[in-house]
Amino acid sequence: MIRISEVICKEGIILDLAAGEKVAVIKELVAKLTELKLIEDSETFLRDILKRENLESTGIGLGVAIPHARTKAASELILTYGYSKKGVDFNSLDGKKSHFIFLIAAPEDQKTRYIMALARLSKTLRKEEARTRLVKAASEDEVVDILKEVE
Amino acid sequence: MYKRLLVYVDSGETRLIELEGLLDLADQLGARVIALTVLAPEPANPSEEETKSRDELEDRAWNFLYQIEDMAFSREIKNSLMLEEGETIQAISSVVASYEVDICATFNYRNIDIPALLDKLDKVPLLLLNQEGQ
Repeated sequence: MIRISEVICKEGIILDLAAGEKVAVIKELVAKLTELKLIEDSETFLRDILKRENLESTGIGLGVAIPHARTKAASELILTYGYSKKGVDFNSLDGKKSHFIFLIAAPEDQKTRYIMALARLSKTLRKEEARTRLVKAASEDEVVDILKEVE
Repeated sequence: MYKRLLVYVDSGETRLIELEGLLDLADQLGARVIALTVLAPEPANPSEEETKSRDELEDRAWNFLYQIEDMAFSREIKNSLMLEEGETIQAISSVVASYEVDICATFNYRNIDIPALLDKLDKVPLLLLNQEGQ
């Protein structure tokens, strides 16, 4: 079983996203991962994430969005997180803005692990305790601790 | 005319292959598929065992929903996932009403009271798919 707190890239967490629009937010998270040298081909990575984003709402409601893709640009499962105080429109079915944005990418041949990570994350973030505590998280370490305790 | 197609699935009963026919229909209509699964409400003061079992159930449900999403995505069919808690028919009818669903679909589950569901759906058509997804 995948544990989100173990696979999340702590250094890639952005506690106060600057961008206020969906594509810009995704680019901000991808830029951070690129800066950390976790992605080599950021153009392909971004294209694959946005392809899915154009086809479906990765906003799952309750203020949560999970942009994701399987892509050649990922050599391992990558998971990072950004918090937006203002909220971002991810076309969630419930019409609410997303504040908790988790980005997941995995190599194309890791479908099972990728789906397990998506499922585990969705389940964890449906818990009100997780969202309430993430709003107040003051450090990247605290985000990881919260996920560890809640998941 | 038919832009949103809701399919209620039971992760314990539905097989992915059964959804192919539904995706064919969504493809023809150019409709968005909303895949919905419903979990029974969590007991008020769950035991450790109940919590563990509930966690596993929810993990399985999300896992199944994301597999549907992956299938739909590979066919470039718009889709959304929903997991609700509560009584099944109430949850389905509530999603149908809240998200302006044009067609509701499900499988011939024995545990669904179809007349009661039809009553709740009012004028929204209900497709009952067989286990081959047709």
